[in-house]
Amino acid sequence: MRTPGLLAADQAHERAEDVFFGQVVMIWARWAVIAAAAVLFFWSTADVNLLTARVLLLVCLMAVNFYLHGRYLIERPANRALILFATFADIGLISAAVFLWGGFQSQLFALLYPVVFALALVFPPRTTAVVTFLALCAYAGALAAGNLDWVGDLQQVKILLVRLLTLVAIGGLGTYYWRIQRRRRRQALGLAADIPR
Amino acid sequence: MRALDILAGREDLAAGQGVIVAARWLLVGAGLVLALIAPVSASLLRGQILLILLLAVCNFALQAQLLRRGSAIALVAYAASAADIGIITALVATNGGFSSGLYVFYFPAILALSVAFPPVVTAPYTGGTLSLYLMVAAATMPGSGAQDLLIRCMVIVAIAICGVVYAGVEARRRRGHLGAPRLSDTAAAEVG
Repeated sequence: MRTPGLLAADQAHERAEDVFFGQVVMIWARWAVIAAAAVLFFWSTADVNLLTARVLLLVCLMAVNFYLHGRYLIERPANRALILFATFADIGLISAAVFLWGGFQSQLFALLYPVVFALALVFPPRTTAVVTFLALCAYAGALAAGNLDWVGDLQQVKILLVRLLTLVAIGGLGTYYWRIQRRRRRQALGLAADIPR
Repeated sequence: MRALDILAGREDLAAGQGVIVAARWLLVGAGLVLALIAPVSASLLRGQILLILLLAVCNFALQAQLLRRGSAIALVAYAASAADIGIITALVATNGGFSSGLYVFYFPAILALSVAFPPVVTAPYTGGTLSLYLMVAAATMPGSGAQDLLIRCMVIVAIAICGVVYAGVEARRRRGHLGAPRLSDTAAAEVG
């Protein structure tokens, strides 16, 4: 029979394990963002000075992810606060890129999906809900700060609705699978199946 | 040993089946609402509604199977996911191809199958999805659209990779709980 104190300790340990083992998914999601940024920078930049500045930004992003990936490989992964900060930085950078390069027409918003999905697989539902909401706000903010000509076209508004809805769905489905996996793990361990919100 | 491997695959499929069904309900609900808001033409609306209702009926059958806690039939699950990809592609094709914003429905569909199916099945499904989408989009793509198309395809691949990697991590964690030591308290304190 497990006491409530022991159960809480187990849950805290399990949350730490989620971050320890799961953050490789976030690292791979970030590599996808970096690859997309590389495609964008090399493809669309003709000016040498601009290309130099963008390559420097790309190198910084790669250095950060090499650091995180390296720590994971030597079994000393980053802590919860650092990977959350890195996720906020990803969302901020993607939203800024949307604002700078095309606004509503920019397809860079698609990079938010792997970032939100990876986070949902690692963090508890409440954290995922907050970060997904922030991602929606950041993207909507990036659109609102730019050209708003598309607002008058109902078909374009429908497209925006689809984007926001599917982004929420990605967070929700990731969380759903996270809960399924936690239940399966707890069944393997013989722990209570209560899942914190 | 092989029988155990197959059983583990069936368990993964059973666990992931709920995610696939949930993703499909999302497609049905969102597709229905979006089709009904300001439809472009009656013939397009008729086609879209027919596809979506067909999907809803199939998903209801799978949902009923889940509710009765019946074991997932692998072949049915694979066929249903292939149908999802086909229907999304049809919606994209009828909605303008490259210019259609409906391609984002590929993301939840790929997410669901990447966590439910083994990697050897996920890889051809992802490849097939990319091929279908490229066929539909490339035919209607403007000259400057290649960059956008590449980014969309990269995101589809990224989501599949994230799902496969996570399913693998979780399988190792469950196996670890059956024998190998868990994360030490010191390491847990560092990460937490």
